[in-house]
Amino acid sequence: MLLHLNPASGVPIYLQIENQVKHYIAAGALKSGDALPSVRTLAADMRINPNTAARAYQNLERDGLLRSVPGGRTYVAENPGGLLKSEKIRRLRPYARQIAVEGSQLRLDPQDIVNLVQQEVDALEVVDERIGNPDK
Amino acid sequence: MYIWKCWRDSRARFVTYLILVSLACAVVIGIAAKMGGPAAFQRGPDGTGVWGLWAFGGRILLGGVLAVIILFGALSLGAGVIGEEFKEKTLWFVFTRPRSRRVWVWTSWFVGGCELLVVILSAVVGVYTGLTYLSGYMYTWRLLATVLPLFVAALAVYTMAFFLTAVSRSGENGFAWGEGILLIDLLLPLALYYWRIKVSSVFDVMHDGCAWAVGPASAFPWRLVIICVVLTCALLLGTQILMERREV
Amino acid sequence: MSELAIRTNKLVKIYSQLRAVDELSLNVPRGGVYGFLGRNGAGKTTTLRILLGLARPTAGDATVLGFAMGREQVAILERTAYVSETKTLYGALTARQLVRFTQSFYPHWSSEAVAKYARTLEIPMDRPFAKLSLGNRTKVCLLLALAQQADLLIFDEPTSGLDPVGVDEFQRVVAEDLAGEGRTVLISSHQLADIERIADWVGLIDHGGLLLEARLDDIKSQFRLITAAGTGLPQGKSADIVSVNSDGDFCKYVVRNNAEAFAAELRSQGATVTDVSTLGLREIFLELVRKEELCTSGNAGEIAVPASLPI
Repeated sequence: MLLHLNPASGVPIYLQIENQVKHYIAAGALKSGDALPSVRTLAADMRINPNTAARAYQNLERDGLLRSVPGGRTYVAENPGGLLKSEKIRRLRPYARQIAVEGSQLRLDPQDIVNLVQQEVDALEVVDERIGNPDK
Repeated sequence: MYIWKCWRDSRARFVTYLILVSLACAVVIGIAAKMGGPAAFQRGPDGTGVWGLWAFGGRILLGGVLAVIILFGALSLGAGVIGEEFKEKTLWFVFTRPRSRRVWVWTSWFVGGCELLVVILSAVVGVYTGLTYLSGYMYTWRLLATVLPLFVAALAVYTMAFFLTAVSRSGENGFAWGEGILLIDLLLPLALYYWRIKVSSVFDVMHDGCAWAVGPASAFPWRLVIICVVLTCALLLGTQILMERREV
Repeated sequence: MSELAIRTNKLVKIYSQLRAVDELSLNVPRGGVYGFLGRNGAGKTTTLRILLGLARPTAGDATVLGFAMGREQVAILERTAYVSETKTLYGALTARQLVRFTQSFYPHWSSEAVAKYARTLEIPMDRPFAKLSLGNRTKVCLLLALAQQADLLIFDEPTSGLDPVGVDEFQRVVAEDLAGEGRTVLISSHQLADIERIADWVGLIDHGGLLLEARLDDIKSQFRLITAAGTGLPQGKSADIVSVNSDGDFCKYVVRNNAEAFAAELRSQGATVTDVSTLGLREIFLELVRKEELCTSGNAGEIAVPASLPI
C-alpha cells in the first residue's frame, strides 16, 4: 500500500492516512481480506509516529472499513462500509452540501454540478460491486 | 573507564615530567660521582652511607633544583587534569553520566596524584640506588623517606593548580595563576629574609626533608608536612564543592 | 508510576537581568514523542540543561521519570539519554573507544544496537572524533544515546549537520525503535517539518514561557486561518484570535479555537467568509511567536478546507 503523506499540510496525518485508505478501498486497489501493513511497519516506512498510524487504523475499524485480528494484522473488512445506509447518507451530506454551496457560488448550473459528481463516481472503478451494498 | 581516559590525557605530560626528573637525578648522581670519587662516599658510624658530598647533592640538588622541577611539573599535571575537560568542552558529557560530580573530581585528582607519586618515587629511588651502586654500600633509609615531604609538597602544589583550573575554567589559566602563586611563595621568603623575617615556603618542606635525610642533627619537618596535607585536603574539597555547584 | 515523563512546576531561571526560563510548567507524557519548539534564545536549551542537572533553577522544581530533579539526579541520569546541542566529545578517541567508555556506565547497554546503528547510520567507527565532520559527530552522539536503551531520550537538535539520508534514517529510528516502544522522546528542534511527522505532542516556548502545549493533532484541527470581507470587522485579538491582519475591507484572522463559531459570528455580522483553511506547524509557530503582521504568505502545504467539513 503506497501512501503519500504531507506532514506540513494542515490536515493531520492520521486523517490523510484514513482518506487514502478509503480511496484505495473505493477504487478497488484494496479488496476485502487484503492485509494492511502493521502499524509498526507503516510508521517505520513512512517515518511517522506509530500512534498516528494506530489511530488511523482504529478510526477505520470503527467505521467498519477494516477489521483486526487480536494481536495480529489488520485486514480490509469483508463488507467495508457495513454501516446503515442512513448513517452513510448522514456522513456524506456535509460534503454534498459543500459541493452545492461552492457550485452555486461559482454560478454553475445545478445540472453541471450533478454531472460533476456523477463523473467522479464513475471514475472510481466498480464502486458498487466492490463495496457490495447490502442495503440496496 | 574514566581512570583510563584521565591516564590517556595525561600520558604525555607524565612521561615528559618523568624524563625531566630522571635526567635531573642522573645529573645529581653524576656530580656526586665526579666531584669526589670514592672519598665522597664516606661510611658513617652506623655503617650506612652518609657524606659530605651527598649533603651537597641532597640539599642543593635534590632539595633544590630538582625540587623546583618537581614543583613546576606538579603544576603542569594539576592544570592538565581537569583542564582537558574544559578545553574539549566535554563536561556536559561527563556530568550527564549517572555519577555524582564529585566522583569525576576525585577520580581525575587521584590519577594525577598517582602519576605524581610515581615520579617522585622514581626520583628518590633512582638517586638512592644510584648512590648505593656507585659507593658500594647501602645508604641511609632516611634518604628513601624523603619521599614523604617531597610528595606532600608536590601534591599541595598539584592540588592548587587543580583548584585554580576549576576556578578559571581553563588549564592554561590554572597553570599561569599557579605559576604566579608558586613564584611568590618561593621568592617572598627570600625577600622577607632580608628583614630577618623567616617565612616558610613549599620549597622548605622539600629542602628540610632532605636536610633531615642527610644531616643527623636536622629535625623532620612535621609541621610543614601537616600544613601541606591540610592545604591539599582543603583545596581538593574546594574543587569538589566548586564543580558540584558549577553550571556547565 | 506517573503518567508524565517530565513535569516541571513553575521553573524559573534568571541570568543577571534575563529571565531565561519564566515560570515554565511543562508536561511531557510518558511513551510519546514531544516536540519542544521555540526561537533561538527562547529558553529551550536552558530548560533541558536544568532538567539534566547541568544548571540549577532559580526557582521551581521538576520531576523526571518520577524522580525529583536535583535530589535524585543520578537516578534520572541512569534512565535518560541526552544528545546535547554542542556535539563535543573527546577528540582523541574513536567512536569505538567512546562506545567502550560510555558502555561502562550503563548496565542495560545494547551492543546489538551499537552494531545496528553504526551500520544504518553509516558511522566511521575508527576515526578520531576530532577528525569527523559535524554530521558524523552528531551521528556518534546519537549512537551513544540510542545504545543506552534509556526510558527517556532528550535530543537537542539531533539532526544538525546530517545530510537528508541521515535525517531520514534518524526519523526511521525514532518511528521504528523509539516511539510506540514505551520510551519517551523529547526533541528540541528547529526542523518543524521533522517534528510535524513524528511528534504526538508539541510544546512551544517563547521568552522562557510556554505559549502552547497540546497534541499535535489537536493543534492542527483547531487552528484555522479565516479570510473574510466586509465592513466593520473586528480588529482586536482575543483569547481565541491569535492575529488579525486587515487590508481595506479584507481581514485575515488566525484563530486557535472555535473557528466555526467565529466564522458564523462574522457571517451573522454581514461579512463574507471567503476561506477557512488549515495551517501547518510552521505557520502556527510563526503566528504565535511573531508579533507583527501575518506571515502566511508562501504557505507550504496549506490545503483549502471548506468551512463545514467535519474534520
